[in-house]
Amino acid sequence: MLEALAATVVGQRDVLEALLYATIAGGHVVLEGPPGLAKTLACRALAVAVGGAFKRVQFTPDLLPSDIVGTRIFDQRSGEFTTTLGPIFANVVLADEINRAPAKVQSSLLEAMQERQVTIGPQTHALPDPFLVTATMNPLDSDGTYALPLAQLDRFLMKILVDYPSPEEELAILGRFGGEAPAMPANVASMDDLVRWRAQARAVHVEAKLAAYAVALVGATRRAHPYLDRGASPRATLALVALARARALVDGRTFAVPDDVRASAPGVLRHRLAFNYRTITENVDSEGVIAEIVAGVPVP
Amino acid sequence: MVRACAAIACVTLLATPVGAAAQALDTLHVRSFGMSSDTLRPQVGQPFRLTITAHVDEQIAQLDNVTLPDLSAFDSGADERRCTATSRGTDCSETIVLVPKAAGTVTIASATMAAIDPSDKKPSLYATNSVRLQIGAAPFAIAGATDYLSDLFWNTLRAFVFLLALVVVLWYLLYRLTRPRAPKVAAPVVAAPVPVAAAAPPSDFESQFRALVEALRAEPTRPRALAVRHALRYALGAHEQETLADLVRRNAAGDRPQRIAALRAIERASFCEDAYVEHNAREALPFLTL
Repeated sequence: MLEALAATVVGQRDVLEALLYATIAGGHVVLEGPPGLAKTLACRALAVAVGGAFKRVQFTPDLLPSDIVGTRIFDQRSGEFTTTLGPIFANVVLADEINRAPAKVQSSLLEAMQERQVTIGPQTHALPDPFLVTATMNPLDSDGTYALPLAQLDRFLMKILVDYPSPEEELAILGRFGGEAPAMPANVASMDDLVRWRAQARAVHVEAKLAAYAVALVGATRRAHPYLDRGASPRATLALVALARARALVDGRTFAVPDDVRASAPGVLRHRLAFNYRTITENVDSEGVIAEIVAGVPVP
Repeated sequence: MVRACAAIACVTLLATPVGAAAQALDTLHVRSFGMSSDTLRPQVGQPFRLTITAHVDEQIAQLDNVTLPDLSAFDSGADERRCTATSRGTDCSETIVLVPKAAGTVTIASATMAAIDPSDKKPSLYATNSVRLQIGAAPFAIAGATDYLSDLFWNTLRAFVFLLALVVVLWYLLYRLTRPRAPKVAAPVVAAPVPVAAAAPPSDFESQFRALVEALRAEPTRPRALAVRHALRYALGAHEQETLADLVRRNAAGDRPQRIAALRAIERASFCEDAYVEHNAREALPFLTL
């Protein structure tokens, strides 16, 4: 799977791995990075690789909830209302620049993410299974954006940071694409495979000491810290263990080890911690704060 | 705002020929030209605003050729000029923030403006009213009292904090001297797991490690696997925050890579499902040498 994705996306190995882990763990992901770093391409490639239906919604300030979930339209000939389903009815939904839409649109999407169903008029429609939302955010242009509240960000299993490619990777991008649209990867798996992987991941063994380690890692974020106002919720602990299981499965193991938990921690924590004003005024690297907290917890 | 006098009434057409400067002057129907102060009783050191206003029939961007009166009795602050176009011409104003230097009665003389009167096409000099101010003394007594009170407050606070700190230190010393001392308790002997530390293993470590391995061989359970894992981490000088990946990354095993292989094998036995602990422990045993 990773090789298939790497055939389309040059470099960004960490991003592709994280996307795969989140897909197997059954959680939604938010990708943050400057424009032009293949965030959208990676999400589209993932959808193609697993043979799922892919829909992309460009979030804009004038977007309405009905533009995402669908709406009811009155049919004059039949004299009845008919339901038109929105783009959220897909296996992989890309919410591009999610922070450009107002709160009510973000809420409608995030409710669907949580409940995995959508109510349009009197009818409730179940979303396709598997259902994965990949959202992108651009950290550079904050004008005209609506920052997602922590409560909503908490719904995302993990946040992936997308960084610039190395010069070698950028040369490879030039050589591979040269202005043409990138070729999508081969369909290397099916939706049934994904459902099976998810079941296998849920069965991955997490030893009691390891579960306690995950709890301790998340608990460490709730202790008084000069740069934190609030730590992560128990949902973070669940996410941490779910991602550790997915990592173990991808690594060919039926049990998780401390490395699985610790490697998952930054992605799980970075969007769930409430950093205070001092991180801005003192220009503190939030990733460094997370690394310091994680490094302070003894490994079982 | 208190107006010094009605501005419109003070439009003064002096009809004074300005002669040589006439060619540079604007032709203006000056309907009003006045001066006012927002207070007639300012105080020394307290800023107030002096405003000069004019209304002309023409649409102009700014009012030129205005000469301000002598303001040497004041310190000058901000100066704001504004012209607003209306349907009936232009309203112009200039506001100067002034700070009186000394107490007493001061009369600010008229401001003047030169312009060509459209009625006779001749240069004219228009003048505002003058403004008479009664400048009060600076509220030095209040300021002085404030400073005095402020100093008194901070000195008192410093003394209070110092005394409080002294009391706390004395109390702590008294407590340390008089508290009952708890009897010393011998630390419990823990056989396993072996504590992880960065220090080099002691000389009898190998015999302890062999004993742990033999115990695992005799009864391959998870606690015994964990004990061997701790001992191996100890042998590698692992810090308690380091994972296996960290040890591999920093090449903790150095020239004895078999220790990492052993740690990898025993990690499987330590964290795998219950049903596989014995199997994985037995698979790890051949690697478990120092």
